[in-house]
Amino acid sequence: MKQLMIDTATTRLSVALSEAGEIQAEATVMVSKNHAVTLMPMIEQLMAAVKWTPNMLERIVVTTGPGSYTGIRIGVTTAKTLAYTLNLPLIGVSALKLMAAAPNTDLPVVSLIDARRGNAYIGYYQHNQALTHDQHAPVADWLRLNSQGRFLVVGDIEPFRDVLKDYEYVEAPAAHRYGRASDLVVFSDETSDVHAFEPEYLRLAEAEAKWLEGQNNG
Amino acid sequence: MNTSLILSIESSCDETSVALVKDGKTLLSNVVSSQIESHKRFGGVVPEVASRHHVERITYVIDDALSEAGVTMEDVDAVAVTQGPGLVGALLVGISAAKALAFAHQKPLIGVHHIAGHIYANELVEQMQFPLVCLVVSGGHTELIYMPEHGVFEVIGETRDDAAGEAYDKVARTLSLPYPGGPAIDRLAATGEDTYNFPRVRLEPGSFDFSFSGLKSSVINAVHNAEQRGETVIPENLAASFQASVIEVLVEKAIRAVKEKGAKQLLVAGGVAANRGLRAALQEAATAEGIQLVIPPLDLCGDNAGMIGVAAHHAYVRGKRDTLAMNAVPGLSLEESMTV
Ligand SMILES: [Zn+2]
Repeated sequence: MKQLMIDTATTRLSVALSEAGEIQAEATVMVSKNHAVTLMPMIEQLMAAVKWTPNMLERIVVTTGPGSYTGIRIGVTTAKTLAYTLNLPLIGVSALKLMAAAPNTDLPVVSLIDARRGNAYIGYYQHNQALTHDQHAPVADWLRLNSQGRFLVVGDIEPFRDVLKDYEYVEAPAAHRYGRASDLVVFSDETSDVHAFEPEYLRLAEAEAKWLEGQNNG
Repeated sequence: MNTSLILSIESSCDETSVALVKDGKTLLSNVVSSQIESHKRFGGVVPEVASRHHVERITYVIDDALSEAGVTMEDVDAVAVTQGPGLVGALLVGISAAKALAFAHQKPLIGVHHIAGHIYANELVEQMQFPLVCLVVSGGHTELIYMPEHGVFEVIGETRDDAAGEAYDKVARTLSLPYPGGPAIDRLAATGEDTYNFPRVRLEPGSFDFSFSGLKSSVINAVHNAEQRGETVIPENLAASFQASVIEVLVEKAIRAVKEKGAKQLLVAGGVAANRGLRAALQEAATAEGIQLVIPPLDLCGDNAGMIGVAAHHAYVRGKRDTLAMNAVPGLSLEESMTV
């Protein structure tokens, strides 16, 4: 099974190719300035490096978010259009789940993507199984409600050190703090309907949230 | 090589559209999925909401366009897409999809300027005869474009403040008309008379530029003054007066540009080209002056991928090719956009 894996959910841009579960090629830019410009050429270069042509692809895996709205739209649109036009199964994986899969640990893993002003997109996983749903929440509140005992933290740790200091936590080593597209190789179940495939924003567009509020207040 | 089959994508604002265009002349399909119902609740297009809808719709629309045209990606010679101007997040969905199609089937990718697309919609009505002048009027644009040949655009006049379409939207809001405002004013104006005598802003003699912010303020003031005096405005007359002022200046400058440039045709392009008052006034003036006027049918005035495919055909023939590193350019310049 020749598989293309894509992660554009955050400032990291990561693309990998695998065959029969073995990684064949991978490229990751930790601080990508412009996914729109870089993603397709990166896919093209990696495919050329292993001498694959697009019609040899058999499956596509992509992170669906949460994260940067524009980033996930670029990844999801690219992945779903490729899957549609090449008639391939498509698998969507939470960006928080990918991050939690990076360190090899038995501890529960809290993945954080900074969403500013003390908020984050937060995932809680153990052995790649979700312990709670991915959420957008104030980190302090979330930890108070959810954390039990020791846990490992991945992702954007820096903005939340102050909140984390009251808990018994372990930091993932730098090299395993963020997932890479190659870590997606373990997620091969749950294919989705390609046409209906959508990003997981976890938040309404601001205008939509305000409109709903207006509706509810009559 | 004047033959081509182009799959084109347009997603610059609130329409997700995909077309298949043969030889730059025939629309084998032109599927438009409009988001207007969703944006109505906000009273205007919300960029983030528009971008989300584009992702939801894009592969359905591609699939519909291919099956309606009865072709497959193997038959296609090139993939074209609107590169700008427009909403960046919205543009990026179309561009990402276009790149995926081009890469998957190893086809050339061609970026198209949105306004070039609007202008080229006219080629589906009447073959372009150069030199020509095109009046572009839409929500974001009011321009007079001079074209000496295919793919060469010279902006000889543009708005110094609001686009005509923007002024329509603001006046419509002042009159509490439903979104979108342009068609609502057009319908109302047809039942009223020009009684308010709003100013005609012509700027310096000889200028082809436009200005609509003064007119917009005059309309808003008229409404406020009436309110303060406890009077009510006559909405149909206000709409008719506003529309008469806009149209008079547009028609006058367009006709003068045609004469001064020795143009063989006057083309009209953009969403406001659907305005019945404007169409009628241009037709009357063009007939009186013996000028050939070309206006796209109503369904090709709004945003659609068919027009992008027609513009792309001429760029394809000239050899324009873009790479998979192509980016969305929300402020893309028309004059530099379509050169090879
Ligand atoms: Zn337009």
